[in-house]
Amino acid sequence: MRPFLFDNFAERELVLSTHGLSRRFGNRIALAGLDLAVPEGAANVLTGPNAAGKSTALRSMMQLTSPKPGSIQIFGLDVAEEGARVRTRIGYVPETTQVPYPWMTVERLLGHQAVYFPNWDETYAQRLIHALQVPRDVPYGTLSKGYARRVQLILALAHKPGLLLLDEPTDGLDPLARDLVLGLIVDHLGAVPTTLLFSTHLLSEVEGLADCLGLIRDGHLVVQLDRERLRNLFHSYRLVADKNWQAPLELQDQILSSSNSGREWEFSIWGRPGEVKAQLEATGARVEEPRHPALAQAVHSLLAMEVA
Amino acid sequence: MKNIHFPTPSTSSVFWEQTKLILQVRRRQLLWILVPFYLFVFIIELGGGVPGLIDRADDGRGIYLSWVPATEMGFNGDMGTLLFGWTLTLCLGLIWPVFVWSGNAPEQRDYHWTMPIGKTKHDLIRFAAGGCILAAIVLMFLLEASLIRLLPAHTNLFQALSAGAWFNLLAGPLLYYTWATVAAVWSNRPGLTIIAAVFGMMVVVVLSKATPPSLLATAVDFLLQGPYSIQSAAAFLFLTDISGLPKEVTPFQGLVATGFWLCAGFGAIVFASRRSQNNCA
Repeated sequence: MRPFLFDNFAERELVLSTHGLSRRFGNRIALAGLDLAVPEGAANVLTGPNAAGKSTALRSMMQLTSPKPGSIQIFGLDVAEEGARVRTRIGYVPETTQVPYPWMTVERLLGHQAVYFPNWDETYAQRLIHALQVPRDVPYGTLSKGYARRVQLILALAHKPGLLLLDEPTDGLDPLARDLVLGLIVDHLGAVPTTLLFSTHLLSEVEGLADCLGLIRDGHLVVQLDRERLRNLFHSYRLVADKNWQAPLELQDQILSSSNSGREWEFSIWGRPGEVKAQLEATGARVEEPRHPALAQAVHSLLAMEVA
Repeated sequence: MKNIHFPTPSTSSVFWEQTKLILQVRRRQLLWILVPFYLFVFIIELGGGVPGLIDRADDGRGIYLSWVPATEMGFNGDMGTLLFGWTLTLCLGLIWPVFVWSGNAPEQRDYHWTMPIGKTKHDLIRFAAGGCILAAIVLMFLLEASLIRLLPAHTNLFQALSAGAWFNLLAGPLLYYTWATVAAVWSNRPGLTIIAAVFGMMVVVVLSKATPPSLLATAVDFLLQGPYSIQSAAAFLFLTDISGLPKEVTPFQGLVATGFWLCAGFGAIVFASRRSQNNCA
């Protein structure tokens, strides 16, 4: 655990926070004391390897599974006590595309959803149907996964929720459908004030979207950072040095991953790039200009750090 | 947080939506069951008959399909009421929850549970919607039976329905519906669970009768056959109305039994609903 990789967003208003969220299924631990903070108005990306606990965390927020122990606060309300009220302001797209009424036409399904959400904006729903080219009179159960996902997005967005929980919404979609869905999410975030919690392991998709990053592994959070902070303080360094060269001791805690091939070294290091570069050069190494890693590379390095 | 408005759906709007849904989900199957049932009542009452298998050894033809006139079916007025009463009470009451909760087994309920309404409240609203439709189905039967009696030619199969019979014809199906709903809310296989529960009860009854007086026999008597049993609650006025049958159950006992078993069933639904939520994956 490295404190500099955790930002509790204390200075920002939180829409969602979890406290010691834990869940076990038989012998498998799905969540092990998850303390997640989601600041208001931000696009938060929650990522991690398969079975890390991302879906269980989101399902807990929707009360589809009960944390034991742990608590969740959304919009300042305790989900265990006020779950139904909280859900009026949440749009949720689950991992699966199943609904219990596959015989319902898309139009009927939207009508059904509208009954439950008094804030349902029919004009906006129709606009989304048009934008996503969704057929209205076709039974939901006959739709392909791509179209079912589009319908699920409309179900989640048309009441203009304050918090959007998306559980791998692009998983299994073809590239065109993926672009359409991501484009729609971006447009929605631009048009409607919304806090987004987007669970995915396809980080290249959310490179331009993420404001905050949460990295979850084995049921607990290993990184929680503002994207800007990550961009400013997390860099890759390539350097050439003697075979016996060793990284300076004062940087040991900040080195998140490293690899070397002969005299060439590559590091991911946390810290101000000018200072880090100077410290490396002081050891006699020839250091190239530090680079901003892509989000996917950064997460890869952060996961490698934890394994080490 | 800033002052946020949380607009929850009204109970009445959810109730009407659930009623529409139940009628839409299995409307074809429902029509296939109800239309023949109402026709059957109509034909029988007007002195018609039904196709039936007749075993005639004397003419050497053995078993063959023939038209059986209602007058040869061994019904009298009370038996007609009893037959249709029990058909409605047992069959409809036990089968109806499977229609109501179709597509809503605990493992399929995630979609509903993402809605902004308490989960147990949602289950109870659906139960109430199904109960109202069931009551409407029974009332249609009673209306049909009453109207037929106004026609000049009828077999008087349904004699004047007493107030007690009216009460039982409504309370009986609702009672069994309530208890069968517990299985539907509890189990992912409600049909099988209901059959297993009925079969299990039959086994328990047989065992209790085969053994000398014991705690089991007393419990079975109280739960299934005694004056405050579920059977008494569902059909006490049928039993007391029909001449020749021992009037074991007084109307007071029957009414108490009805109230008790309906309340207990309601509590069991709440318990089953909460259990489903706690066991969700």
